[in-house]
Amino acid sequence: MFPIGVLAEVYEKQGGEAFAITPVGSTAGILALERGMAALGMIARPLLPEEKARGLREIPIGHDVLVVVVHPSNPVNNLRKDDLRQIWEWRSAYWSEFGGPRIRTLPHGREYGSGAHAIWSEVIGTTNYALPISPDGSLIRQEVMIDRRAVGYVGLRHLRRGGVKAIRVEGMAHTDPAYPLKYHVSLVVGPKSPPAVWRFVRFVRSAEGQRIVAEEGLIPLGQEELTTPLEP
Amino acid sequence: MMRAVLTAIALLVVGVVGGLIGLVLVKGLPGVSGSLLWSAAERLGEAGGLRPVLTSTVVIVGGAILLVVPIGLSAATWLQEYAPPSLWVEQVRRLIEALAGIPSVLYGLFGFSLFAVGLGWGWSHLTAMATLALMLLPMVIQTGAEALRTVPDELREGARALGATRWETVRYSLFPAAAPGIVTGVLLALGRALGESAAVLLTAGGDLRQPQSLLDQGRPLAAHLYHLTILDADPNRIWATAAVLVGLVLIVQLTASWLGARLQR
Amino acid sequence: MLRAVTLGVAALVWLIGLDFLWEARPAMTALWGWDWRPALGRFGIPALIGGSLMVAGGAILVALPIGIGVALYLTEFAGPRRNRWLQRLLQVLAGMPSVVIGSLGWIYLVRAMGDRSDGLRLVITFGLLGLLILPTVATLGASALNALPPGYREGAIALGATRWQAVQRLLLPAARAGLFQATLLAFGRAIGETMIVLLTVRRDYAGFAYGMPAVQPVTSAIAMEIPTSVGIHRAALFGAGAVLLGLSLLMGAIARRFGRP
Repeated sequence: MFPIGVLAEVYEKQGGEAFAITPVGSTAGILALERGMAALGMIARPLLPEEKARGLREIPIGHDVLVVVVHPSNPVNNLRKDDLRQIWEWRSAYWSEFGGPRIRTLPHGREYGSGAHAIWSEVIGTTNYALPISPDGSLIRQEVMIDRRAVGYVGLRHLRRGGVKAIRVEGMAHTDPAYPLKYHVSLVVGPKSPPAVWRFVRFVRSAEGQRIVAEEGLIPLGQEELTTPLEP
Repeated sequence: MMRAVLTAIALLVVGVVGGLIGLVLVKGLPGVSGSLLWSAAERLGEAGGLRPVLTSTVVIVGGAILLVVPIGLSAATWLQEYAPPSLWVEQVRRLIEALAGIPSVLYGLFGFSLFAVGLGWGWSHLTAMATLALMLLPMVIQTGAEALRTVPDELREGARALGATRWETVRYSLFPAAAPGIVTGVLLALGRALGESAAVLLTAGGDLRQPQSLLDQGRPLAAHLYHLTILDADPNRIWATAAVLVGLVLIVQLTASWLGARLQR
Repeated sequence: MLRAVTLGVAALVWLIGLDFLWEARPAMTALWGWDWRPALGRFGIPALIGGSLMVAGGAILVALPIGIGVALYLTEFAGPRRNRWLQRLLQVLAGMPSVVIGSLGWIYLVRAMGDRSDGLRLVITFGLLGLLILPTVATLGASALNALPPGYREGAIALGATRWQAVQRLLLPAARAGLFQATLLAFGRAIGETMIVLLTVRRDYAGFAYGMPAVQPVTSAIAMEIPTSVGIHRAALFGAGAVLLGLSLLMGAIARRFGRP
């Protein structure tokens, strides 16, 4: 997940308050937020309706993309969503079907329940989820880096580490504004979060905060998103 | 012939284990510096130092030991000195033996369910130390009971003859006599807690800021090594972190075996 | 007071088991398929248990011959000095944090090997896990062999048997209960190990549904999926924990039976 800790570090160095930040996509995380044990949460999927009903609120701080990556030696440069679905459902067994060598395809995914998995399933529409999984995008990058068969999806900051090759989806590079696997990364404020949290939220959405967001591998928010009023 | 084969096997094991430890220390120790140990972590631990990690390690492991020692020694004392020789006491012993065989990840799962979610402590130092304390209990009980068992009966009879109550006997003659054995057991538990990652990953969370309270998340050394590995951090940093971990475990172990050897004399 | 504490500790076994079963309630009917595919609502615990047994079995295949070899060396050939040093080394190995072995194994063996062979990746896991349980086999094996009456081997050798014949025909069969116990305890330790499998095995969803070596042991599934699981998925993970708990306790109980002559 995006290193929100870096933002908190900078904020603290500038004399701001220290916050406990918890990943929300989990029972313990939501509980910590609702009981006021963590001041802030982070989430990569939209909040569920029942989570919103319990008083949790999401505030977008940037975009991330799921970049489709393959081994650097793989000559394939583009896959359609339908191709990806075929590979993920084990119906396309060889790279030769997409203009590559006659090497097996081996899709790597994230574990069920993670934000990345939810977005991938929604956009690509895979149902038959049977494949190697990793508990973090950085592990998927390492698995793809060493395996000519592999294809996986990782966040932007993992791609920046190199060792893997990004390919286009539906002809679009991940830098394209219309890239289909793009999603919001949000902070989540709970009913018991202290008011000081909003100062941090404003910092993250300030010009400096957005600069750090970009440095750490997210796509900064657009101007119109930044001007939406925030107050509770 | 047979001698040669078995010697070769033994040498192989010595080579692999010695090689592993030697490699970790040789490749890792040069990277261990004051600034690595004392400065704050940055960039999810990929830069900066180990201060929050070492703080969490001390708090969680130390807290677990502080929790487990009184409970474990109470149980050991009862089993060894008070329990009547009966069938149900035998059952109790068996249950405690069974506890020792439960995988650590299941202690983690239980701690997550009971302490983090059930009691609402969330992922925290407190949750992790309570979980580790449960995991270490059978070990401390068994080594404690063993240490008391080896105390010669004359000591018990002598104290009784002087009119001491059972508790006074335990307190003033048995505990001092069994102390080296008890301490050895506690040290072994300490080493096990230092090296434990699975139970801690499920209960401590992963925050890397300097912890301020027991309810803050934390990331002790062994868990940190796991995170660095999946992040594909700089190998020198991984070696150095592994060297700190292995070094600490070795120090604890060598102290324990030194004490154990003194005990036998 | 002391008694209450002791009984409380002993009750922990039941408490853990009941807690797991309670947490697993919502998933009880979903647990019996042959594949583990959470996205489809399939939580076949047998698939995970199969993964655990396979990995632990492989580790035993590595640790058993080497461990018994070391045990024989310790009891038959090593002088007291070497004996002491080797035992100490085994103790150090037993205390080695498994995450260190897993981490270095992933970076310098699995990742360095690349895509050359899926089977070899599994074999590396067997080897690393075997290394971890080696001290259990070797030390318990040695004490089983040591427990034999000393007249045994001298008698056989006096009757003209070679050392090898004495070991093979007499010592190993006589110590078999103890050796079996050592094997069971080591096996129990291997199915409960988390960090090595989490880092080196290719963590496959799906279990036996596909014609590839798909392995996902219970321990790594729990460690990996608990943090993000909700609802029935989380319940199923607790169910898997309950089954692993039962398996570990059973293994320990059988081992203890063999421990008492």
